[in-house]
Amino acid sequence: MSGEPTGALRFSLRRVGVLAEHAFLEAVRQRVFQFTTLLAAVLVAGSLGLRELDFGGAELKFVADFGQGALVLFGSVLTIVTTVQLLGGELENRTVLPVLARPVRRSEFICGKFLGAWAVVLVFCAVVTALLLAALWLRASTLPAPLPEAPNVRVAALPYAGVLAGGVLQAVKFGLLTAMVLLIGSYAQSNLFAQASSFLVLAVCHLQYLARDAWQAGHGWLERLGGGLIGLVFPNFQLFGGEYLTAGADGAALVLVGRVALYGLVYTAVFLSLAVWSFRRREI
Amino acid sequence: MRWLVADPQSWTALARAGVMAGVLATAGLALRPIEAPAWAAQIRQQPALEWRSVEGAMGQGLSLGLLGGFRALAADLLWLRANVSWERNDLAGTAAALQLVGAVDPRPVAFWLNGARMIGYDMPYWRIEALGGEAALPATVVGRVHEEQARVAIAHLRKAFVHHPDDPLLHIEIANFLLQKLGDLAGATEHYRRAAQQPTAPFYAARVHAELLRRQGRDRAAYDWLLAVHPTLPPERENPYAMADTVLARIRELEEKLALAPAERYQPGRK
Repeated sequence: MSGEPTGALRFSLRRVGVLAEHAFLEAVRQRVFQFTTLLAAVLVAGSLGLRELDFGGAELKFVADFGQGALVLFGSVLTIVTTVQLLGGELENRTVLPVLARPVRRSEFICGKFLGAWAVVLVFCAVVTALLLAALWLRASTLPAPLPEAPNVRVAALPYAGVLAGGVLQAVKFGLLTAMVLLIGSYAQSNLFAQASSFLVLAVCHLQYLARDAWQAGHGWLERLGGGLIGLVFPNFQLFGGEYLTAGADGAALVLVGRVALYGLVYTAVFLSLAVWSFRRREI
Repeated sequence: MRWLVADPQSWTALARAGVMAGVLATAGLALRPIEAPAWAAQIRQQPALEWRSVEGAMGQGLSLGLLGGFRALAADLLWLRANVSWERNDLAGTAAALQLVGAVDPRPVAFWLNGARMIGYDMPYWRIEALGGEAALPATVVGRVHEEQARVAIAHLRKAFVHHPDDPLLHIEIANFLLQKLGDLAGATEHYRRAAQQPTAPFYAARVHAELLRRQGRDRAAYDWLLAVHPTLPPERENPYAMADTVLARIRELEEKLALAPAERYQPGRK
């Protein structure tokens, strides 16, 4: 099957919704969702026990850092594996053919898969963030309030706002990652290639700021050119680390969250459009 | 390249990749005005990982941990590594691990303070032992080693100011090295002053600053300083760390020493 027999078929949000619902239910039933959610939950709960390992920072800060680490790591694994299985599985098993033989546009198919996969990751983010907030509250309520030796020191500044903002921004980042994986999956010939490439792209996006540094202060034109290209083509995933928002849950922090969320959503739209464009030209 | 010429599909794939790269580069450029302020705000609060400083120096597990977001945990594990090297009196290993800890997670001030103490207070003895022991070495050599390590420790602490501008505990630690290892009373006094002027300074910084002024014979300056400090302190029954009564006692001592007339003497609560 080549190209898209769109004819007079118009883009339908209803069909996208049906496809997204099916994708969501399929993804929720997968073991990877249950496994990563359970593992992340165990890690968040375990961070309370791991506080003996905290040497440098405040205890609550360590718990928050650890929980966010669990969110980032397992959220990334869940996003990539789920999205690849949702799209790649259909392509490998040829179950995509009966779907596309119906009056369904390829763009609707990709958008449905995107929404279904992202919804699963949103559930994961909500569960882990809620658990992390509960763990922080639980630990904070048992901490004694020491007499301050230094004036004006916030003895146990609770990082609730930062954790919440971090959860929201990670959810946006995983949406962007879902769109990126769909773009890779739209031309990948095997699931293994799609997964490996997605993890590689994830690493590149996390280290994108180094490419930007190389563009600005690299040695030699090759390093500068390479750094500049990588810095332009790949989004900066480090932006979505919400920890800096704990500095103050004020208007400026909210503007920052909005700015980063907008950055992620625009990039998501761009990657999703490219995934649709690439998938429409794919031989199935 | 023969396959490329022979296979028109390769040209198509290349053209598609080129179009995608072009679209993404355009998006990257267009989003720069949104990204730049957010990135600047982030690295102000949470310094970006100095990957160049840590790459190759860590095992794959730690690298993966860093990429996964477990930055605090990775730094804690590196701190353990620094302590293992410290227990073995391994100067190179400890120094390298301390540098890594600072590069991976420069946020906890405790890492900088304790690292500087290892460098400035412990390492001189390791070096002296390696040179043959204190008994076998001229006093000048022993003194020079202590001075050199104190300067390395101060340089280590100064690096932390990039991430913790004017942190009072860093100023106090530098002042202690200047005072105890380099005999720089004036330098130590200045750092205690800067520490005491920070809003999060511990109460004792102001008292020590006054004491250092007094040791330099600057009794009047010490008196004026304590006069400014005392009204800002909470009563001792509310917070014993503030030691308001001790500060008042020192004020009285200085008044005696300066032979101030009763009318000129400090009256708490009166402006």
